[in-house]
Amino acid sequence: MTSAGKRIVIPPRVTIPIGPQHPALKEPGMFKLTVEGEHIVDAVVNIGYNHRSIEKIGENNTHLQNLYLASRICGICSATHNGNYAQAVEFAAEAEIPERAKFIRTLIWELDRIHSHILWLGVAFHEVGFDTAFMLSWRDREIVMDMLENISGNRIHHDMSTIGGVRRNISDVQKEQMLRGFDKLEERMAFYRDVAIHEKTFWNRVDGVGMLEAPIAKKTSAVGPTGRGSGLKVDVRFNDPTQAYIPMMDTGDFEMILSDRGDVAGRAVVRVIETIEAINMSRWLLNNMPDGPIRERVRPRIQPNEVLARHEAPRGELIHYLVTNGTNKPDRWKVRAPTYNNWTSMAHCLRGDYLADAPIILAAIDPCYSCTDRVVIVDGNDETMRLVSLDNLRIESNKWHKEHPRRE
Amino acid sequence: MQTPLDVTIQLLAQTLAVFVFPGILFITFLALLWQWIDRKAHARFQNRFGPLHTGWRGILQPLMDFLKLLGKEDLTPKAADRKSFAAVPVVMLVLSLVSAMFLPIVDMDPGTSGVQGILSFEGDLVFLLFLSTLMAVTIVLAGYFSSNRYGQTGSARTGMLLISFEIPLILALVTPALLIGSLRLSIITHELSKLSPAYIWLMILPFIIYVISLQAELERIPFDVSHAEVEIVHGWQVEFSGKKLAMINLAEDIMLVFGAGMVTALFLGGPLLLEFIPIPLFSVEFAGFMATEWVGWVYYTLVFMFKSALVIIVLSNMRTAFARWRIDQIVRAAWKFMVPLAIINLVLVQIALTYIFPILGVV
Repeated sequence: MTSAGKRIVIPPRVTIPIGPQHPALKEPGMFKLTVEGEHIVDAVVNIGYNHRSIEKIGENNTHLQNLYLASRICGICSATHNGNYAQAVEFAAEAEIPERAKFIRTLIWELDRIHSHILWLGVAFHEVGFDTAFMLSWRDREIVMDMLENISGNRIHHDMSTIGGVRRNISDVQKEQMLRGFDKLEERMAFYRDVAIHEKTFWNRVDGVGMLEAPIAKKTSAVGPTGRGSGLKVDVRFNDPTQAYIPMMDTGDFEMILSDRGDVAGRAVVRVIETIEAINMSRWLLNNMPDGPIRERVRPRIQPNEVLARHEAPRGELIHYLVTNGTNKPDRWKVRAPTYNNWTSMAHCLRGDYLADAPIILAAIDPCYSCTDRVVIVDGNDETMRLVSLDNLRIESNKWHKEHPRRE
Repeated sequence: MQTPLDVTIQLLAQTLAVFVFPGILFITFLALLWQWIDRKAHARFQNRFGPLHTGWRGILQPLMDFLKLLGKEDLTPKAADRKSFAAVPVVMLVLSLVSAMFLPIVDMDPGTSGVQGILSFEGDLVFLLFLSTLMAVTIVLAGYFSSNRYGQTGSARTGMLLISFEIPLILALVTPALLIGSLRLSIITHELSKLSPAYIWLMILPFIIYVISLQAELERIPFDVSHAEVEIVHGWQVEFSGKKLAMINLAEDIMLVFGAGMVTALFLGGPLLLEFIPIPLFSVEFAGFMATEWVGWVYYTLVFMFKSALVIIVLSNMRTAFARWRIDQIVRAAWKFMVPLAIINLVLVQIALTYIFPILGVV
């Protein structure tokens, strides 16, 4: 390049890497931000640091084993993966599960949403340097964590759903305890809603930051609170209800939380109000829970079938695609986690904002890397990409190591 | 006529003052103690416990942190300017220690009235402001010396932050100097305590401005953009490790001692507490006793520590109550709000001194 062709930019353009290891990220991911002074002019999103080949492992497991594997996909929304896989297997077996089991499964999903959203709120407070609210909100998250431990025996990996129902029943004593807990939780959430909206230092950091306009959100197929924060009506609980969401939506007492702001503030408000709505939903589920058995026997060999199970995870629409082949193992199992959809809009959100806003914009979609990552081999020379299965990867890596012996 | 023995004793006493009390050792002790109070108060405001295990309620934790950092591996990046990089922590520590030596903690010069610091001369207020600006320049250079992108961003932010808040800080310090008509810290402290209580009304606004600017000067939340750990990973400090980081941390703590001490000296009446009670027993006899006897050394120190600790708690409360601002918001707030407020404050003080106080008959 000749010197005449060089464009001198003042302030100079610097590429700042955020990740793979960075205090703002709880899991590995790489974001190359090109900044001019404090302004982000370009952003490149690069994920794929956390491949665990869960889908491939799942093909060698029985469906029952896969339930527990599925809940380990993600630590925060473990109930959604676990429940959605059970739901997918039941769809494939064309089995109907008892009403009470449906209610308990839905209750676990909603409790999971409450704890996930409070966790997100704490992380969002932390990303803008508001550590006090972070500490306090995580303290109050313990209420719902205790509830989950009370009814499932575990704080994180509840594993409540099983094929044909749920594993544990809810007693009347537990119901009373939970209803008391919900009152406390609702009061605290109203407080955090007011903190988020009225605390100027927090609001100024999220107001108008990371704009994602509705047409772009639609084009990049944003799901969950990210889409709803931009005014898209995407919520599987309302659009395509399953389990106990069907009777719940028939009452008409609940409505989809939407915001047409389109910025991080919109997503924050959607999440906070959705938490309060989820508390009301859980209360409704507990009060209207029918009596009866909690589990239906389903034969372990599932007939050949191809199903798509949809569920609204805390982060958005979660899809489990399952192909069964008449044995007790899946033929193909594909998980499409909501974060995967939301990545696409990330570069657009980052562009044009301040470097200081990058952590909160990244956090605003509530990313879950371990849900998302797949192996993609990118050839550096001709920039082609191809997806590789685990077996081929193993063969290729053995070949590579044979060709490139360790230097002595 | 001084004998060699007298000279030796005087020299020893001065050395002791500089190195032990109220010099380097005492200031370091205060720095670690203030860090503990700050951490503990911050944690309690957040419904946490804070340091708990080392010593009584974790009181030795700052010392442990310091000692442990001293033993850690000390790395210098290849791209860094080695000599300048190594000089930064030393320069920062020296600057902060020299600043802290001006604090009027105990009476170092019984010949003159009032409480003097170890160093004290006419015009030292200007010199202190110069030192604090020099500190800011060192911080800005520290980031550039480390040749790290996070460090350079942090330095640019520090520069913008300090340029914005040095001015209200200086303007706030002008008020007490203006009331007394002196630029010597010890004289300002001494004379302020003699003024009529009506002057308190003139000191409230500069006090608020100074405390806010001090928070910005110390780079604490909501002004800690320059080492926001989730954005630029501690900014200009990112490449410092081991001994260098320990010294930088100590220097920052000493700046905290210095900042809180300045508030105490200029706005909270310095090392006097019981003397303000308007009963002759306290205001005359007790004050006279304390000013001449060695008991004053203990009493003045304790009062100074008590008042500084109150300031520290106010500062940690500020740290607790806010989220971190963005740099553009801070600069806008500084130039649109703080600087005009500081100038208006000066105008108000002038109006009050020239027109209102004579009418009210305040002496």
